[in-house]
Amino acid sequence: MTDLAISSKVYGANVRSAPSFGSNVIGFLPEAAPLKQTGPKQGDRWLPCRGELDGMTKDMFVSKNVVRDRVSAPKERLVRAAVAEWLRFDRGAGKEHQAPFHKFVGEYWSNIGMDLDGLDRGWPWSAAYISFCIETATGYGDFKQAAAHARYVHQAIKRREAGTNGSFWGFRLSEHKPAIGDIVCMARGNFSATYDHAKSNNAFSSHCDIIVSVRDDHVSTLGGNVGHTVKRKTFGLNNAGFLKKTQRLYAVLRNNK
Amino acid sequence: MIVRVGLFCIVGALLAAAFVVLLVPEPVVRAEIDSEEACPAALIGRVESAAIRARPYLVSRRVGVLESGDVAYLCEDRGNWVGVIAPLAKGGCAAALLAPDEPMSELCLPGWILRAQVTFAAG
Repeated sequence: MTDLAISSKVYGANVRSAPSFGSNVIGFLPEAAPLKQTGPKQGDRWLPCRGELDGMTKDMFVSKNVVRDRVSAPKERLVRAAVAEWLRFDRGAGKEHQAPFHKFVGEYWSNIGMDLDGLDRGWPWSAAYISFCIETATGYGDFKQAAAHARYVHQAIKRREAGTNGSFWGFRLSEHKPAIGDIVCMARGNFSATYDHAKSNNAFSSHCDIIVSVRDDHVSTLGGNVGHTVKRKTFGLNNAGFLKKTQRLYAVLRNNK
Repeated sequence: MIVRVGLFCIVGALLAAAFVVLLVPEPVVRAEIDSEEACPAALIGRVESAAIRARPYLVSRRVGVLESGDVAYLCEDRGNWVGVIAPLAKGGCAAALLAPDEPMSELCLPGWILRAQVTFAAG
């Protein structure tokens, strides 16, 4: 039985009762939902699988085009945590200042010990979102959860350059090909941010997202406080598989778990 | 005569420059990028109080004061200075911080603070 996970361009996939498009759709699984392949491929695309639907384990068929091999358990947990928050934010339609979504932002602040309730608009909560996903994923105890991305970006770069263990290591864009569960970081607002600046500073304005899927020519990410919600973005890859130096990107944090 | 006129022009230019530096405020630019707030939060933390100035110069007019622990929003980076928006009442300035096209209300105080006087808090 092969360990698989949903990986779809449309953020999830239909699963079916039989190996054909004409069969019943018995459910929808979100990005990163785990599956086990239970037998050989049927026809040109259908994989018999076992997975969880509505809290129950069920047998189903899924197209080979919407699954990928699973990566390590901690990486899968991190991606699932990011996706779960995106689903809580109604797939990016829920806005931070509306009920019940502001309560979720309040949970992010509470997780890092900040006395904010989610209605404190003006406090950027993107790093709190990342920290919440890390906490939910479990297994990343050494990660510097914080209200500012700069804290953990600095930590990851310092660790990598010193060769010390850590759940994330920071790289320049040209040094590491991004993978599922990594974190991509970019400058924000009127502030510049560079790898070298992040190496020597832990207090600067930044933004980071979690990579939830990797294609031939781009990666997809989920991030908090993007458009005042949890939202997906894409970043282009060059022919060698490295992130293009666009969209003000300056570092990629490799998930070592 | 020509020397006098020249001197007059130089003095006039210096006075005009001094007027601008001392009195005319320099706007703090808010620029929303990727639909995120352009002005992440910062705490005033390293000194007892921090003067907010109209322009990024020590000799510029002081337009306000933030006490230690107060929150301002960093919008611009200018060497030793940061352009901030200080909310004068809790939540009163949120709209201007979130949407750069929104006019700043009387509850927003824009200005410039020495970078060394702020501690970056979130964003």
